[in-house]
Amino acid sequence: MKLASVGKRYGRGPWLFDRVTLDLEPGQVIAISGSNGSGKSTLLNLMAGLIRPTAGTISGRPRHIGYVPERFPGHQRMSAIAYLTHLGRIRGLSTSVAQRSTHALLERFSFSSGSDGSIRTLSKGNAQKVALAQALLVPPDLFILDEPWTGLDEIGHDVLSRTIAETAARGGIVALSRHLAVPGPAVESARYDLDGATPADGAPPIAAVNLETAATTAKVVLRPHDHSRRLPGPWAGVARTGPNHSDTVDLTVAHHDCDRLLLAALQSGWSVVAVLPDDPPTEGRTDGCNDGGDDST
Amino acid sequence: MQRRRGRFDVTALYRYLAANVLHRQLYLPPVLLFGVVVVVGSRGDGGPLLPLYALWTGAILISSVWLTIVVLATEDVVQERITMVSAHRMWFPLAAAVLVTVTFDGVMAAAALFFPLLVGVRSAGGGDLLVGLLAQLASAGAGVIVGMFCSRQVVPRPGYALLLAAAAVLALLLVQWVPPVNPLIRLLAGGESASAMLGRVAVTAALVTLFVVATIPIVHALHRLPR
Repeated sequence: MKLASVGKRYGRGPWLFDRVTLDLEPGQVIAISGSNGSGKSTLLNLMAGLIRPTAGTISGRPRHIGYVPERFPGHQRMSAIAYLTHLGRIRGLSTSVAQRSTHALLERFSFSSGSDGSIRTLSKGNAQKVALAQALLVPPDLFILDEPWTGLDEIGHDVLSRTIAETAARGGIVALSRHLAVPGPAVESARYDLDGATPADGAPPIAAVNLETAATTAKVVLRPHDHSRRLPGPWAGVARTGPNHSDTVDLTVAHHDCDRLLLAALQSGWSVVAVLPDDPPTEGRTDGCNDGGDDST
Repeated sequence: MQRRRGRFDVTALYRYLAANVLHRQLYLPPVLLFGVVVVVGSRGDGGPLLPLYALWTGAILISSVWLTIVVLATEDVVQERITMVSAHRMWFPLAAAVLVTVTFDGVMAAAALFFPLLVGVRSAGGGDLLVGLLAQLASAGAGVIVGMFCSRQVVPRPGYALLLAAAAVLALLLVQWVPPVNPLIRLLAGGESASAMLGRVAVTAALVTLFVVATIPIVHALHRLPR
């Protein structure tokens, strides 16, 4: 899927962004970051085909798209199961398959229904789980998530991280937006910051988004005390978790998540073996976290 | 994952939107309005049916505009986006919503057709019933077109939508040279036999159907998603 010099403005208003060029390969997980009003949701809506770009072109959009909005509307009187079954049928599933998929997804996300089962009685977190489930009824080739971590509990974070990793492993493209101030596991393989793509008033549109380089991520090497290899909370399903040596695991996390990961790991009985800048220019182990964390324990 | 026919399903979309409309119950005011007109209008001395159907033809226009607007606004804006993405083709939900509205219109028109006969004060031939049905459906179709252009998808501000809809309904009901509702009402109330007017009414209904279908892509193109 390619976005070529894409720009968006509403009416005669200012450009939200312009000349955004992205070449999204199967298996890629990208995060769109930026401040409020920078156009993160708009860019995701463009990718989903919900709106048309003011400038530029989007090509190669996959057929099966899973779209998870930032806020799932809560005034539906329909039950979550009925709603998801309907959407499964809309996506071409038979009723029985749609029902099975619905129950499997809700169970996976540890969904608990409201007092009468209708969506309007759900908590924000459970409504968000319904929003995630509807996007996964048919495995999406393009999985679009607008600030997906909001409202989810720890289990939801865990399952979502694994789902994103599975979608990418299947060859799907995952595009999500994230607010740097909102915590959430670093699942993305690349991050694009839209703040740099907003031209000043009256100025010609400036070029594209800025790719954050590998220097903004860090590799954390951990060793479990009890050999369970279960990482705490949302990091249990981080896509880039992998074995390093026989008794350690490596994680690649964003800088802003690094300190929280270390704290959670230590509190959960893990030892921090090393913290490294991702793809370091030298082989030497150095501090990769913000504010000068410990190299090792 | 097992799929039924390997394609996105418009029938399922219709079922979902119909269920949603029934859950929300926003259809009740326009349906009740039409029902009141039919019940009150059917009280009489057993005169001819066609002038009565002329009244139904005018009343169903108002209810159809109202119904179309509420059916197209049944889903929350965000939910509508999910449905559009799920349906793959972005105009499918609009087409399905129009089908849901037409279904309501059809049920209302059929009920209004037979109600005067059920209360036992009139008798009618097949020609009267056919002309009455086609005239009501043509008027309802005109209401669907007006409702689509006055829907949240095209006119996001409800005040402007209400004013626009009221102006369009008044024009269609009262201005003689604006087709199709006013000419149909005058035709039905003019005293001609049903067989004499059947051809004109049928052509009008067919043309309105074509215009309804043609309006769907236009309204879809005008559809502006809120930021």
